[in-house]
Amino acid sequence: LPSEQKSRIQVLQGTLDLIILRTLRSMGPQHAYGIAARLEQISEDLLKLNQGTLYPALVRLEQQGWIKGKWDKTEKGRDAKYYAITKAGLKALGEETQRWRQMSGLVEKLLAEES
Amino acid sequence: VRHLRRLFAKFGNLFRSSRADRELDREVSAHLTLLEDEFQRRGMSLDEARIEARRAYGGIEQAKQLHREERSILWLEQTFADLRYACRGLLKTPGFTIIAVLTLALGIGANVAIFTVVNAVLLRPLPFHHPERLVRVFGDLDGVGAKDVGMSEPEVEDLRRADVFDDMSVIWPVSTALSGGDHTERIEMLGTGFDYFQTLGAQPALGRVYGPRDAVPGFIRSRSDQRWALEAAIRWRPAKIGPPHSSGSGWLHHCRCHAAGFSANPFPSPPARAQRFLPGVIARLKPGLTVQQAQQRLDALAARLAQTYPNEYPSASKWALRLEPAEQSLTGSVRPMLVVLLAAVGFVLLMVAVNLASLLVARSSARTRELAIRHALGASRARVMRQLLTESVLLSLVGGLAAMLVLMLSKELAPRAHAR
Repeated sequence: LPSEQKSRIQVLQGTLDLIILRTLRSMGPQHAYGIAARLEQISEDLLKLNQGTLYPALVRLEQQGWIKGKWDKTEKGRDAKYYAITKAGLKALGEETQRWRQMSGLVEKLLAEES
Repeated sequence: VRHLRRLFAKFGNLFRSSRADRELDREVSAHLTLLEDEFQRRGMSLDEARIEARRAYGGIEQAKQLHREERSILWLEQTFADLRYACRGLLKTPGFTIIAVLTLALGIGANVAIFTVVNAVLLRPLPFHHPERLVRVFGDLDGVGAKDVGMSEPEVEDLRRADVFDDMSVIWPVSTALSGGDHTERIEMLGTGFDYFQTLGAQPALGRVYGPRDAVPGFIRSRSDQRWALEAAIRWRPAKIGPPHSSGSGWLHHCRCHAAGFSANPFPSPPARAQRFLPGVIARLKPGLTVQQAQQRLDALAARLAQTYPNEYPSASKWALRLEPAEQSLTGSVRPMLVVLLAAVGFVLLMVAVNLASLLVARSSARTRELAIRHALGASRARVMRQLLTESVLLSLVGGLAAMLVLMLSKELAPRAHAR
């Protein structure tokens, strides 16, 4: 339904990396499905995400050396690739969080002045 | 650092594309399995869960394509694929390939050969300090229609005092034989004044050159006890034979000889103005002086001399001094020929291109089926054009390579053929 679609937000360009890093830091190594499930859970299904779109972000983060993937078994014995945040990733997360705070603070301030 | 790191990773993936694809396939199917498990846990049937899992995942192929674009440098990857394909295609039609490559080699080779000469002779400046200030000075007798009649020693001295040149030197081309090694060789030499190298501002590759401090007053009127300085530029020597005196690399010799051949005083004394034994003069203009300005001063000088020595410069002969930039006087005679040659090989290349284009058109009409299939499979027009362009570029590169090979071989073989 249109109204339902409206209330769901698209992931803002560039924020997906931050979200993934943050999720991996708080939850430890996760597979892509786990990350997606967590995102949906936290956003209370507000965040609409094709789970396949996580993969480009994952490969980007891995190439930057911020996360590292490793094949493992799930609790139920299924194959899955688990991604863990690296030391460089932790550092980057700090910087990116800082940037995001500045940015969102700025936007918030602008919006407050407008109204 | 991270951008560099990503670039390396992307380059790495260029060559591991299929491995990365397999890895992604495994990951996607694992992901789908987990989703199916979840949906089954919520009470769906296996089939429902399967459909729902795919819905939640989104377009699988689209996601894979995004992954490919993200992990690698897509256009480069495609170019490699095109190149591989083009190589296969060219090897499959050896007749076409050989003809195309040979035609290209001919056209490109001829152009490179001629351009090499044009570049060395016409385009590159003379290898001297401020070559634009180097000029040749000629004496003309316009009244009797004689050009470049040479100079007499008093005239050279007048030029030297004319406040036009920084340095100047007489030059005297000689064709002679050089003996003393195991065989005698014909050489082209240039006899010069002592200030020749200073005029050019040139340094010897080997040894020492003579300069003004070696000068002996009046050396041009040589006597048996005076030394005659020579620069012997050996014009052509097969590298394998080596120099007769083994004193250097074998291309250029500067030797200093006692002028036994000139021991008798060949010049009248005192020197007469009209006896012009010195064949040529090369000089360096004073800085800031244009050729036109210098020419005006020389015209004034010639007029003054004609007034002072009416007997030696009869007005009917119209003696005049003429300046010419050294570059122009060196290359002036071959310039039109080289330009014509360059145009000719340019047309050869044009014909080669037209020829090749029609060959390619004929070939592509035989490939309409293949191209139609590509379109049907979803290749865009631009993508197909890029593929064909890649093929043409590959063909040209191979042709160019063949041309370079032929040129290098001919450079290697020509001196040997000459030596025989």
